[in-house]
Amino acid sequence: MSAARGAAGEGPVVVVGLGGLGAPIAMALAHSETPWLRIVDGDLVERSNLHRQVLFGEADVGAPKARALARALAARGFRGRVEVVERFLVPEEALAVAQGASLLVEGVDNLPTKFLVADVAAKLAVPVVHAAALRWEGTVLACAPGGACYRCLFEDLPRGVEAPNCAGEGVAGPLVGAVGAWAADRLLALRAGALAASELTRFDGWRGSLRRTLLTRRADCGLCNDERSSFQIERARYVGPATSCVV
Amino acid sequence: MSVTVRIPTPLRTLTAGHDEVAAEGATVAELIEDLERRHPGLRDRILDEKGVRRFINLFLGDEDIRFLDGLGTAVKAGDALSIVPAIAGG
Ligand SMILES: [Zn+2]
Repeated sequence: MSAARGAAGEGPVVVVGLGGLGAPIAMALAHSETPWLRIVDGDLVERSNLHRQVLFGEADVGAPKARALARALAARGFRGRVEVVERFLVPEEALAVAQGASLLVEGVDNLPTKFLVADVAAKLAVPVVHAAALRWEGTVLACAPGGACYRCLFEDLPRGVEAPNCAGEGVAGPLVGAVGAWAADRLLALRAGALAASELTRFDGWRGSLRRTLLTRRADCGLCNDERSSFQIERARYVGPATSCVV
Repeated sequence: MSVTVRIPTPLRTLTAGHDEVAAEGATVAELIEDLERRHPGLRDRILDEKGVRRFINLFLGDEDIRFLDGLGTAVKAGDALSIVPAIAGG
């Protein structure tokens, strides 16, 4: 554990997806003496995002989110190192983009990238937090070293099924702020070695309830029980509906 | 016995928008059958021919049913079953 803790202090915290979740995650990390952030998103700031992406303003519309976020962090007094990656995370370069990371966190809007981040975290043996929000619902999965992973919970992308597309469901603005802050909190707990097991937090922003569940590794999980080197991070592994949910 | 079932956002189109519904049964499998009677279409969103769909998790209280007795997990009055799908967004 102490070795993992020591290692977690060295490289950058890599934040993938800089929308309604990623921005508050990055801000919380910046305010928590995180010396080095690498922020990753190929998207541009849109006016329709501003209500829930509170670090961006009118002047940022049309700018790459990663660049706009770096500016916003600097304007708020962050003096740490910020590496800007103005590209979406794709299988071909995911390992290179995350190389050296001490921690990974994602708040991306599509399932294939969530699985990709999970796989990269396993390959690099880095603790990871997965955050998601849809309508009034949020989930934060914090994966402790040696604990359950994203694929323990959601085995794989659905393939060949008629998956309803929930794109356009939208998300409640205040919820993403809360979920993003919680994701950052769990990341800091991971960094401090305070999480002995992986945990899932489920928010119901409508009823105002929060449930936290400790997770156990799934014995037949193909990721965390497999040898890390036995699969390739290649595009075919992430072919699936690029939607926000598949039920 | 009556159990509360928490319905995730994507499935609320099948429950007239309700985020919690009641279901009767002695096991999780029976609850899902009862859900199907009350809200047709719900079962196929939760189960496939092999069991619980792989990108869905069912929690009885705070326990993942995979670590209990799966669909055969016994339920008691007052329990809450949560349907937790993989979601993305932010
Ligand atoms: Zn796993």
